[in-house]
Amino acid sequence: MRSWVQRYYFPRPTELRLTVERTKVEGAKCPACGSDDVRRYPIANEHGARMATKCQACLHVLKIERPGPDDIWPPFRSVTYDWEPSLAERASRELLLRSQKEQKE
Amino acid sequence: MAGTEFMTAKEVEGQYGVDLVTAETLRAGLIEVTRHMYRALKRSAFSNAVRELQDFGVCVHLVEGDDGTELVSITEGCTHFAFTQPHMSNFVIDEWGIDNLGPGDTLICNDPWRGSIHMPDVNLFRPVFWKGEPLFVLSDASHLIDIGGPVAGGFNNAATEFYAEGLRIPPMLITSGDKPVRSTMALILENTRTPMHNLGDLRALFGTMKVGEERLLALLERYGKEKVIAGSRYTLDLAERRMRAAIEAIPDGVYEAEEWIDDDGLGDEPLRLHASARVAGGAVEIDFSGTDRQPLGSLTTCWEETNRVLVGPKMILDPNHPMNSGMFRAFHVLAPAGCAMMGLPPTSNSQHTEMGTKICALSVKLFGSMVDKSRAVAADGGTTHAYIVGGIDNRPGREGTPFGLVVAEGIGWGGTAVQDGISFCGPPIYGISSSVVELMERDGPIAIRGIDLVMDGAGAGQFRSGYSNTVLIECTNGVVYLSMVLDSGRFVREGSGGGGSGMTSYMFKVKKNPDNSIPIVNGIIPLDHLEPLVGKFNERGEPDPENGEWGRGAQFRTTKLTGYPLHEGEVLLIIAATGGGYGNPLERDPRLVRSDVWNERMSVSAAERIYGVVLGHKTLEIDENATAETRERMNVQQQRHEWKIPVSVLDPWPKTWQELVQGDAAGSSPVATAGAA
Repeated sequence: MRSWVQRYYFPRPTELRLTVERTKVEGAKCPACGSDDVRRYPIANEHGARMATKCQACLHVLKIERPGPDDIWPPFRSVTYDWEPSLAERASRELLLRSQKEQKE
Repeated sequence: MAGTEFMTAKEVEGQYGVDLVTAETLRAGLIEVTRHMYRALKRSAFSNAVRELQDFGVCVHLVEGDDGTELVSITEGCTHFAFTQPHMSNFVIDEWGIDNLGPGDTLICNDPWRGSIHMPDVNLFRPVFWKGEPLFVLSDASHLIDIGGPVAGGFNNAATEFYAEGLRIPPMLITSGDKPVRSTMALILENTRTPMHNLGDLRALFGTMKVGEERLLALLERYGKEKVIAGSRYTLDLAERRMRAAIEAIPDGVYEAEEWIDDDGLGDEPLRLHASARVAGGAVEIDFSGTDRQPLGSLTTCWEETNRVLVGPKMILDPNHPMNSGMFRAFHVLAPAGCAMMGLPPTSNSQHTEMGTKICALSVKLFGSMVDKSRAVAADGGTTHAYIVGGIDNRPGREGTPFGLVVAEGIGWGGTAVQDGISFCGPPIYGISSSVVELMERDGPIAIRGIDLVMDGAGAGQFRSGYSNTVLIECTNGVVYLSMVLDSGRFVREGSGGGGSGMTSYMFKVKKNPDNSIPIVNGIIPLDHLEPLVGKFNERGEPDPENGEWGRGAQFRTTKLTGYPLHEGEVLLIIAATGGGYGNPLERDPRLVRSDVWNERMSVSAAERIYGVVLGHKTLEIDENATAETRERMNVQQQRHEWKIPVSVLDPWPKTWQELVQGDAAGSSPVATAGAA
């Protein structure tokens, strides 16, 4: 896994027209049609940004997963994304948990 | 989920654990929740974009554990929110963490890289708890009239970075335990030009959430958690089944389409948008590879086209079913990072509107090419045709009051295989209402001197395009500043099925008569009263979308003006592009042609020149024999490629008032129709 990279500021691409890169998954075979042209690439589905592993011959979906840090997908992500929430940010939740605990007791 | 569109009552009960009547009642009940939210927001909003244009969306999302959320219901409003809110809910809730939210919490976010459309749109997300468990998320998206930054209204078309567009708000608590978070409120109100307006709008949004929460809790109280969740899943699955059934009827294969945008507002280079759609096994993969890189100017979008592109298949494949995330499940969308519709920070996106209209048009074209021609639609006007007017109101009693308004008056949609295109409606991506003239004139120092169609402006066809509204706007006090949300000035909007292309967009300064009147008949002002700002003109200075040169004799070579000053007494004329026609105009029912002439939408000469319909100049009655002869001759010429359907525009355009009302030496008035009888 690559080290953390900032995703706040990107240079403008130099290529005039852009293409989504589909990375071949070595050794994978499509269970639906048997093709070995299986690739992993960034998509948007009903939930948003995901990584798809799909057969390029029949579009069978082998796997849908949340993007990892290496995927840089979606393009922007806040440095605070994985931080612990502060107490202020969880105040109502803490109140709820406290009242639930009191009810049980 | 694959399968047939419909399920039997037994299958519904077996799969969801509720009977069909209850499942359908809950499906309607979830939509009804959003209808209550709609009414609450529309009645209480301060922003004219919300109050009049319906530039908002109110939604219910189902919480699905680690997967995120899915939009389960939405009602009327601005179309694209039905497509953007599902992703945005996931961005915001995923980042904050549903487990960090409690009852009465509301998050706000306006970040385009987290799914918002642009920064003036604030989006609120509120979890709804039932017995201590967050089951749903309510959201409302609403266009604030100003979000700060150097240009009133937030549409800084000259910006190259988002820092110059206004306040970017990451997910933040705006209510905690049902109380407004003071620091968040202060941040917004102290960084925007219309704080009291914005306070009113934020309170309207809080109230909307409370109404939605009450209605949703009432549904849970009556039916219980299990049934409401089951009804939600049924609702989502039904939309998915319908969409997949429509896709399965399309031949598998790869389809492609492209669209062009005039320029990015800074440079002179047109922008190419390209998408392919691969259809296989009841699913579609849409890929924007081949699209131009992000421009320097503000004509970039940052995420939202991954979902706004689905407006096309919704319109073409399953237009009648209520919208929810279930239809999304049949699509994967690929968008290369750094292209014009997946711009990277810190790019600007003030002109997202023109990207949105063109992406939608591209998508309608793409999916229209997959289906039977009876369901295809010619290109619409391809522009938002909206103007953000702002400044300081110094009218008596209002001295020094900041104001902001959105003027939106609708465009012409493309013709279809069965009827003429819709007139005077916001483009399909928005479907918003028009601004209310009286309220605009009350709320800002402007007068709308006219809203009209341009005679002969509709794209020709067996079924012609709709007409776009033109706007004549005057500043009535001091100076106002306008930012233009307009495109389709350079490239005509194409017809379909053999139809003709529509008129392109134009802007002019208008020279009024000494008595303050404006010489206009049927949307036409003579050339000697027009000072061209932008458009395509021929060597005679006439608007000429087909053979004219872009920017010839005009002040600008872009329609995307920012902070354009209009001083007291000055008048601006804005003509928005129309869509293309459908089918050969020589096959249009002559009675429909006559009707257009009778209603002063079409000139007598255009009826003959484009449609081959000969009308008596005095009587406006159809000359059957002359029409048959003319059409026969034009048909032959068309087959020999000696005649082609002209791009729609009044030709010739009168030079003087005299020519406009009485005609030139050669004949009668070009625009007089019923009046000539």
